[in-house]
Amino acid sequence: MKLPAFEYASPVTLAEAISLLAATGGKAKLLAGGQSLMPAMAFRLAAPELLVDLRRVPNLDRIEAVYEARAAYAKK
Amino acid sequence: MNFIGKPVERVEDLRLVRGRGQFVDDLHREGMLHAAVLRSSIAHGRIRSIKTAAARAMPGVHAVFTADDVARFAGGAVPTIPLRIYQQPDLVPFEQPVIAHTKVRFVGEPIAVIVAENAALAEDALDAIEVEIEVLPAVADRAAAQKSEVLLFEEKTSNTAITFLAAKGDAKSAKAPYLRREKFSVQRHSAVNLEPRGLLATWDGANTKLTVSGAAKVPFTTRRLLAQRMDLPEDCVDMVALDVGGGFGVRGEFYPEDFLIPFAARKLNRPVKWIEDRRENLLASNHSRDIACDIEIACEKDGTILAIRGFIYVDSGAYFRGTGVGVPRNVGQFLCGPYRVPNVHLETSVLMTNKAPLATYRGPGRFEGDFFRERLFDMAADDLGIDRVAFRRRNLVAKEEMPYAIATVTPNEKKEEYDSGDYVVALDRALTEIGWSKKAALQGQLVDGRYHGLGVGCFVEGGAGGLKEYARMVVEPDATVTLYVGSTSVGQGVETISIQIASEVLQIPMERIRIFHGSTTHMKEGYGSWHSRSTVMGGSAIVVVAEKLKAVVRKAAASRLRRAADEIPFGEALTAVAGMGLEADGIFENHMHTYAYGSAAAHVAVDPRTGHVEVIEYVAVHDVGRIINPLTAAGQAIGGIVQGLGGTFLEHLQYDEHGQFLTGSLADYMLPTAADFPCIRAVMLENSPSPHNPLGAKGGGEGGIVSVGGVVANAVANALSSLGVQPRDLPISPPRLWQLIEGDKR
Repeated sequence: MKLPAFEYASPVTLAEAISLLAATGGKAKLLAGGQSLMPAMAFRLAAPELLVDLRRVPNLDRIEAVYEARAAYAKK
Repeated sequence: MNFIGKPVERVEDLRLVRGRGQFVDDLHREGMLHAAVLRSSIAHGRIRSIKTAAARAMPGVHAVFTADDVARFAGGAVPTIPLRIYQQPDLVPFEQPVIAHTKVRFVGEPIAVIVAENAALAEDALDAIEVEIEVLPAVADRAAAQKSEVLLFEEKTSNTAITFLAAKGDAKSAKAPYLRREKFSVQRHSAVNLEPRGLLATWDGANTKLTVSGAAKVPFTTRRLLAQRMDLPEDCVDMVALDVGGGFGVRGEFYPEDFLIPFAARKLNRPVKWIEDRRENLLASNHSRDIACDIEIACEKDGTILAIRGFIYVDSGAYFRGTGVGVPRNVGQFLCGPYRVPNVHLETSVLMTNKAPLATYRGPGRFEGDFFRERLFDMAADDLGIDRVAFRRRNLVAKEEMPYAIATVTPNEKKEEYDSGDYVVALDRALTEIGWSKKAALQGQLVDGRYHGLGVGCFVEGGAGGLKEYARMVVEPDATVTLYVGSTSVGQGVETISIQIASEVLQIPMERIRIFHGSTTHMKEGYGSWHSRSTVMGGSAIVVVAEKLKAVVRKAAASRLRRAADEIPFGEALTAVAGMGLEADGIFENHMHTYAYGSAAAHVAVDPRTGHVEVIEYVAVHDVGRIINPLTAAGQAIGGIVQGLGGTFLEHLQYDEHGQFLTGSLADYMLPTAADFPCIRAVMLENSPSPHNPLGAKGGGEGGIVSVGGVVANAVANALSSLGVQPRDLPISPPRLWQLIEGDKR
């Protein structure tokens, strides 16, 4: 249950991450926490050619609750 | 100074909790390569061709071995894995070859071995091997096996490999005013060790020495089997035992890899490591349980049991290996447990199917037999209008009846008897501990949406299997004693209790004794750890040798100090003779098994809307003859109970109708965790020493697990008595129980 071979990229901007995904035509996977993807790769159920690590991409490291959105939800 | 009976903390623990344990995957050797095993994805088929050229050409791959290479090495035929216990010629055709040739018979059976620079490259290359298999219909369950329309072994006329008869008296013609016949089953499950199996083999061609690290349980037997298959003298093979993450009967038997990895190391003249992954562990380590029965109880109107008879069907998987007949022999022989059953006739059919081989797992055959019996007893007591505790009390073997002869098993018949015990005392204690009389009013009551129920059962467990154990003691120049013993550690605390026993006999502090055990490098011969034997057999060997050493040291000290031998305290004598190289060795021999026993009681609450069962309390009372260490003894009981609860509610190795394996990860195969079953207690007793060893000890590693299925299922039935629910099959998973509740409502 070792990982198959893959390329690894660690982009620093969102635009770079998106262009890496686009360039590989669906053969890349995003790596966030890896809790699901890593076991799937270890079981050889997934074998992406490229892993795009989101670790260094800014502004993807939090969830913000925006007041207006919350108010809109409360009305429903 | 007393050492036996003291709650001494385990000497193993400091090493382990500080991360200083040494497991096989911690070992690294210069030039070490890694192996991966290609396993059959087909349950049953004929191998047409295996193409390995592409895999051989992949980067980092050093070799690919198939059955052809093994056969060439072995001079024609692929070696098989023999039965370690109860060998008999008519079972030889069912032995597993160390690598599949001509046919595959279960998903997970080894077809090829790849050796590469690292494990990932070896796994990459697995995909490049082309195997052509002509698929045959799979024999996926007991019914298909019994039909024998498809045969696993074409040279045989049936998939029933053997039938064992457990018999006593004349059960067949026994007539009785009350009869009840029932069918029960226990699902396939097994030990799932935290640390999977692993091996590191090195071959030293210059010195003709094969060293295999990762041995456990029975290193000396494994060495013998490996040396024969390698065509080497035994003393050219060393088996090294290390720390392990659990044994439970499964680790340490001879598996295909126990040949294949040393074979690869020898062929390549490089160290080769193989670490089993979790999927392989679930696929191809020994499976266990998987037994159904159709049995009848015959009683007087007052509940006195006259006979138990019927049929037992074991789904034994594709091959016999190691302890493969242990389960079917035990289930019939011990189905009557600690009860007085004058007439027994139980025929156990061993059925071959396209599944992983079945062998022993903690409480083999006993967990299943206890579930069948205790369920049947509750049903019988209910029919007869007798309180189920009174029913058990009436039928328990009495202290005065000891030794008590039980059913014998043919073929390979051997007389068997329970050694000692006061079974009713353990039953009464279990009832007191759980507060049975106080809780009695809760039985079947609906409280806050959940039905409450109580269950109780009684058990015996066999211990002290194997005929001998060896020990040796050496006085070191620093006046300490080094103890060598044939017992192996599979995490049960064998180092601690061995040193306690040695300290007790020698009357020196535990710190003055070091222990080496398990590996074949420490001793000339040893037996090992299975059948709850280390305390009794290893411990008694230590007693024998310690007494010898005491005499030798006293004598030497007396002449050196010019004092009478019996005036010199042993510690002082030891200091006086340090440096003289004194030592003693010895054997303990015993052909009689020990029978620890006890009772367990459970209180459960069942949610009828979901089928979920909460185990509110589970108490076991366990008499082990003599307690060496109350902490490790209770630890064994509690650990066994948790494993038993896993087997009762969660664990299930499942296959589909094509023999395809469905539970290859821990997301599919559920294990109990600490949060699932928080209220478990074990009360250890030492009322009835065994007459068969100097310690009076009885093997106590398996009693905890054996009663769990029966006791808990009885508590569930008791809770749901107003709905008429009777669990007859394990596991009691929420959907299954919910279906029973809903089905019985309609």
